[in-house]
Amino acid sequence: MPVIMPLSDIPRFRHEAMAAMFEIFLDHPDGEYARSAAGAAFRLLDELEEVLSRYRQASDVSRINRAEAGEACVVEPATYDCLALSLRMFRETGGVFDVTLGTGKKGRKFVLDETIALDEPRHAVIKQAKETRIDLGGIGKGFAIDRMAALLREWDMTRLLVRGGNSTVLAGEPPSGRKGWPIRIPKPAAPKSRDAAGKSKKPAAQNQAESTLLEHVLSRGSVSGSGLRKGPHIIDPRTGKPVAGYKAAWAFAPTAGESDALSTAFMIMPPEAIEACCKRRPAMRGLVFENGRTRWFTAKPSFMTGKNSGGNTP
Amino acid sequence: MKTDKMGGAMDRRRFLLASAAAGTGLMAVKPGTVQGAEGPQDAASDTINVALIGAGEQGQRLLRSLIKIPGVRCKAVCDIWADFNLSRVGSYLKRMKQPAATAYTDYQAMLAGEKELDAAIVATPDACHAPQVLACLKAGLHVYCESPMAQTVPDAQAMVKAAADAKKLLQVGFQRRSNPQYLHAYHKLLREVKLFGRITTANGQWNQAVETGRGWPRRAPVEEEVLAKHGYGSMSQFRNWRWYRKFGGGPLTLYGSHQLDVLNWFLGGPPESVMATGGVDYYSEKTHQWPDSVLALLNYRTADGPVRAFYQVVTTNSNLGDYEKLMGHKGALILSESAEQVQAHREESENDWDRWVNLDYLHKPGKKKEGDGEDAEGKAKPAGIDVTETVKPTLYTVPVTLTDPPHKPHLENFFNAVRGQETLRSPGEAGCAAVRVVAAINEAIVTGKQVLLRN
Repeated sequence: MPVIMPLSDIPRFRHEAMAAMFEIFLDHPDGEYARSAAGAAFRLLDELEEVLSRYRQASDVSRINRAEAGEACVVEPATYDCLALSLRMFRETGGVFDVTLGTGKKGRKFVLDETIALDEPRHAVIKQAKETRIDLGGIGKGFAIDRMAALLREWDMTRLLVRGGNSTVLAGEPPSGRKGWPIRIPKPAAPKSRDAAGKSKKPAAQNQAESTLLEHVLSRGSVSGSGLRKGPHIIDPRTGKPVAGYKAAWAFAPTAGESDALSTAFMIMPPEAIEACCKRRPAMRGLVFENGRTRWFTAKPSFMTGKNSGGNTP
Repeated sequence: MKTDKMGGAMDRRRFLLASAAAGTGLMAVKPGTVQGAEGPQDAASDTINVALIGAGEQGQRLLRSLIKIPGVRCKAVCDIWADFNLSRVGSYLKRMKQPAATAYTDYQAMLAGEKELDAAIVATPDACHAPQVLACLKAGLHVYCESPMAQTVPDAQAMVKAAADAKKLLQVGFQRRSNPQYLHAYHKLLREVKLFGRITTANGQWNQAVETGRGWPRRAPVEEEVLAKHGYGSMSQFRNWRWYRKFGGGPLTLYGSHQLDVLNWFLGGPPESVMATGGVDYYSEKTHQWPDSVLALLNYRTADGPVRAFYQVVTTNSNLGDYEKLMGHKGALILSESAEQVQAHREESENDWDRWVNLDYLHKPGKKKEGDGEDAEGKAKPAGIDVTETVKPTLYTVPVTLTDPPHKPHLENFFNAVRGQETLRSPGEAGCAAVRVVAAINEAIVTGKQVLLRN
C-alpha cells in the first residue's frame, strides 16, 4: 500500500479514528499555526466518524440501518454527500463498488441504487428495504481525507499530505522546493513457500529497491491501494460470491473518496471495465498487480511524475 | 392570535407559557424509539421559535439536533464571530433546507428586535451565562442554558430565582439526564430492582490526551475592537476561553459539572463534604489558569447510608476515557456517553441476574438482539476455577439503543416541557447543585482542607 517517504523537515501530526491512524503533513512556515490547523482537521475527523460509522449507535448510518422500509432519515451534510459519492462510484464501477450489506428474498444481494434513495428537498435518505444495511468502510476514510483537506485549505494550508490508514493518501500542493510528495508503492508480498516438511519458509530478504513496485511524487491528487490480506478470494458484491481478484490494485484519482472506492472495485473488475472507468475522467488511472506483473490503465495523469511511473511491465 | 376555549383572544406566547405553567406529566420519550425523519406536528401545539445565543462548537452541535425536532425553529442566531460562526450557521441552515435565521452579534439587540421568540438556548462562554440567561428570562423566554449553569453559586441562585419569579422554564444542559441508557439504569436497575444492592462507593473520571491550544483560520479573525469590547485580550484568549478565570472554569467545570451532576442524581443529592488536590501541573500558567489535573474525594450521605466517591479530571492522558461508576455489594454500574462503555458487572455472590435479562432489564453480550449497534462478542467463562486469579465479574449491558446524538433527547425534553407535556429533567436547581460541588472542590484545592457544602 502507499508508503510515504520520510520527510524529516515537514511537521507530521497523527490521530486515531475510524480504526486507523490518520496522518497530516503540513509544509507551512508557522509550525504552531500548522499544529492548530491539524487539530481542527482531526476534530472534524472525529465528527465525521460520529455520523458515518455503523459502529456508533447514534450515527446517521446506524439510524439508516435501523430504519423501516420507506422511512426517511434526515442526515447531516457529510452523510448525504458520502452516500451521493457512493452512488456515483456504484454507477461508475458498474455496481462493483457497493456499500450495501445484506441479502433479500431468495438470497439476492441488495444493490445500492435499489435500496436507498436521496431525498434532496428534505435532505434525507429513504430506505427502500428494511433488511439492507449500509457500511461506508470502503469509502469513508477517503471521504474524510477530502473533507479534512478542504478544512486545511480554509486555514491556508495548501502544501499538504493527508493519509488515512495504510491505504489512501491525498496530496495537495508540493512541499517547497520539491515536485511533489514522495510516495513508494511496495510490491505485494510474495506468497509463502514451504519446505519439504510443509513448514512455511520466510521469503528471502529484499532491499528496498527490490521490494518497490513504484516510486513517484504525488501532488494535487490521491492514490489508494487494495490488496489481499488472506486467502485468494474476495466477495463480488454483485453476486455475493467469492471471486479470484488481482493480487493488488491501486487507483489514482483527483480525490481520496474516489481513489478509496475505486481501488476496492478495481480488485475484481476485468481489464476492459477498469479501462472504461478510468477513461471517464482525465486524471483517473488504475494499476493492478497479478502474477508478478503490473498493468496500467489509460494515460499517465499530470499529477504523477517519477521513476517507474509509466508503462506496463513485460 | 389563538383563541382560547372561552372565546377570548390569547397570543401565541401566552398559549405556550400557559401550557408550561402546568408543568406536570409523565416522560413521553420511550427509550429505544427509532427516530426517523421529521414527523407530523402535534395539532395542539405551535412552532416554538428559538434564539441561539452562542454559535460556536457547542452551539452548532445543539443546532444540529434542534433542526430535527418537529415543531421547533431556530429563528435568530447571535455570535460575536460573524465571519466564522454566523457564516457557518447560515450555510448549514440553508443546506438543511431550514428557514433562514436572523443573525445578530449583540444578544441584547436580538432580544429587543425579535418579537416572536419563545425560547433561547445559551451556549456561550461560562461567564456569559448568568447575564444572558437573566436577560432572556426577563424578555419572557424559556431558557436552555449550557453547562455549567454559572461561574459562581450566587449567580446560579439568582438564575434559579429569576426563572421562578418569571414563571419560565430553565433547563441546564446536563444531557446525560435525558440519555436513554442513563434513564434505564437509574429508573430500572437502580431504583426499581436495586440490582447493585447497597451502593457504598462511586467514582468518575474524565481523562483526555494533551491538547494544543485552539487556533483559528487567519483569514477570518474576530475584529480587535469586538474582542476588546467583550473583554478578550487576543484571539488566542477568545479561542481558549475555558482556561481563563475571567471566562471559564477549566476542565473541572467543563467535564466535572456533567459527571458530578450524574453522581448527585444517582445518589440523591450533592455530597456533604469534599477534599481535593489539583494544580496547573503540565501546561503553562500563562495560558492555563485553571488546574489541569484534579483529584477529589467526595462524601455523600444517602438514604441507605454513606457513599464515598472519587472523581478525577486528567488532561494529559486519555486512558479509559470518561465514565461514572457506582459500586454496591451486589454489583457495579458503569455509565458513559460512549454507549459501548455502559456496563453492569455482577458480583459472583449474586446468581440471578439472568432473570433480569429475560425481563429485558439487562442484556448479556453474545446474545443477539435486533436493533443493536455492532455487539462485542461475550467471552467464554473458564471451565474450572483458577485459584491463582481473581474471578472476573460477569459483564452485562443495558438493552437500550441510542438512536440520537447525545443532546437531542435533552433538547426534546426541554421543548416538550415548554409545551407542558413533560417535566424538565435538569432544572436550574440541579445546575445550581453542580455549581456548588465544583466550587467546593476548587476551594478544597486552594485551602488544602475539607470543605463542607452549605445550603
